[in-house]
Amino acid sequence: MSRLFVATIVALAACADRGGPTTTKPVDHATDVKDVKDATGATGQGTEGTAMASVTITSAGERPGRPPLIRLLVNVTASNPGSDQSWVLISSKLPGGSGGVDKLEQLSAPGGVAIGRFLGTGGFYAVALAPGAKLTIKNLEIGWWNDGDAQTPPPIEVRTGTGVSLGGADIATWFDGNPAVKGTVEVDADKAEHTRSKRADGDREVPVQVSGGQTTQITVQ
Amino acid sequence: MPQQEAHDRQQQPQPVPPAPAPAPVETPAHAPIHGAGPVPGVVTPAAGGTERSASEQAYASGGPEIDATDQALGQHMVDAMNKANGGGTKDSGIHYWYNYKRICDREGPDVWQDKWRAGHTQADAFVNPHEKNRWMDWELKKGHSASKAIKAWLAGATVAECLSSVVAMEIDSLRAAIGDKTFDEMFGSDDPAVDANVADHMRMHVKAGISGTPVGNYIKPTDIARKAQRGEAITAKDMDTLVPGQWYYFYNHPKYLLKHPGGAWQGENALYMGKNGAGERLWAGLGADGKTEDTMVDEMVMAYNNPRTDYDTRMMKEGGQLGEDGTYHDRRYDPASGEFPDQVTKKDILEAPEYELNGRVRKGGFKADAGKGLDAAAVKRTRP
Repeated sequence: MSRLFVATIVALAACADRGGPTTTKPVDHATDVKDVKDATGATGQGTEGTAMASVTITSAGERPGRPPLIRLLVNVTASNPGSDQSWVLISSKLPGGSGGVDKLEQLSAPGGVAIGRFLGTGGFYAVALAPGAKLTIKNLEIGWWNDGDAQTPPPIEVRTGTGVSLGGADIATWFDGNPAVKGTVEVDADKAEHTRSKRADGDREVPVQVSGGQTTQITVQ
Repeated sequence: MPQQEAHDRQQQPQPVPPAPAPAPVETPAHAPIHGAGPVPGVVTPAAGGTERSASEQAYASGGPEIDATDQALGQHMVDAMNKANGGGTKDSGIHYWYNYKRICDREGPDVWQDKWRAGHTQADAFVNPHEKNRWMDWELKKGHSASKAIKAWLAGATVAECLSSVVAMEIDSLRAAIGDKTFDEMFGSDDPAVDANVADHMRMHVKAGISGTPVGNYIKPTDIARKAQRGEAITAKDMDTLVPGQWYYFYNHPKYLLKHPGGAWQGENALYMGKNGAGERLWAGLGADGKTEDTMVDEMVMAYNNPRTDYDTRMMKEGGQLGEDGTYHDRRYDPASGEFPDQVTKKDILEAPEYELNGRVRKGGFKADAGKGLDAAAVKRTRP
């Protein structure tokens, strides 16, 4: 599709005064966000002296879904120039839900990259970035519930953090192996295979808590 | 066309038909000519030419292209669904009207025609649904080849919905298994002499339901469906007998239509597509590709939890549940009545007790007794 939207968020990945947990509800972090309307996806300048993580999202097209669902395809590039591992959580639904998750479907992309597809009313994709890592995921599917017949999608919620707990357990324990991506890697979600699943106890949704980062709504442009 | 839209929004699972007769009941007035013969088992290289596969030779001769087995018929369904979900353009593919309208709107303000909501295909061998006010029911015109027409319908561009799309795929699987020649002799031909022998009730329809279509007498319940219909519990071992291409149904929350009287997500016609690398079953319907059972229900959760739309309100008014003054005449539809939850989870959909609405009892999740597929034995008996 020709319609492109590019937005870059600049997130604080390891900032002591922002180390408290964030909720899954949309949070206005306008002062922390600098949109870079630039197809290069260049990282903007944030608060001086802080370690930065950035996420760039670009439209890659659409797949037909059952009305009013549109399967939006996006290319996501996430970088972690900081000194701590960073999690990046990308809402898998538009508009994003504020609930929990009940299942992990672990996708394995060529090269051994693990992408966590978490299901539930607060469903999202999760990737872990080692310090210095840069990951590009092409053709990631976002379910856009376009009840209003809009021509452009609403903002995508992206959360970053140094710690993520699911029902009180470290998100990493849900994965098979260490999911942290190292170096610079590009994968195609279309070629990723669902290789493992983990369910929440009793199939009940568990709350999601992110710490050491922030929640940002990326306005689609 | 509100009534047509109502159908659009309320796709029902088809009742499982009784076991098929030993041979098609609707025998063509003119018995098929079985001149094509069986598919050759050995390919003989043409002198100085390239080899052609058995299926290619069969295709050229109008004979069967695939075996009449559960596996081959099912694989044809899987391939067709994958192709349909590969997307399309203004001139190709199968589209929900909503998606096709988006494509048309990008080309210009006057490209989309609202009558296409009722169903439309660019395949010119059909009388389109909007031409005869028959929602999602395409009739083959006299003097046209049924085999060419069903292939053209699938190639698109066609505006349809999930049920008629799956029916079209079943029809094409039958065609591939008995061959174009026999198929045309039974359901419509571009050879006037042959077409003259096709009875009106046999002429091909593609529609949102199997009755009255070429596969009306070829669909049978799966073993799992028969077991479920007997009231027996379906085990994990039973589920391992699923054959890719078999057709089932998944229900949303049993009270979905109370919250969304105009909603399109009361359930999903889904083909079994095999297992993934995690050992989980995958399903696909039109616009839902390679979904695990969890992801399929996960989307149903989202559909349920979305706010009511203007269309929901319109359907309640048209249905008499809601008055023009905003008073609920049927209290069950009133959110304040507590009759239905405003928000649900996957667990709620799967565990909510069954509920009857408008004469139909619904239970969320996999509907085992809806399982069906082409009867390979009946298909085999029809082959030349």
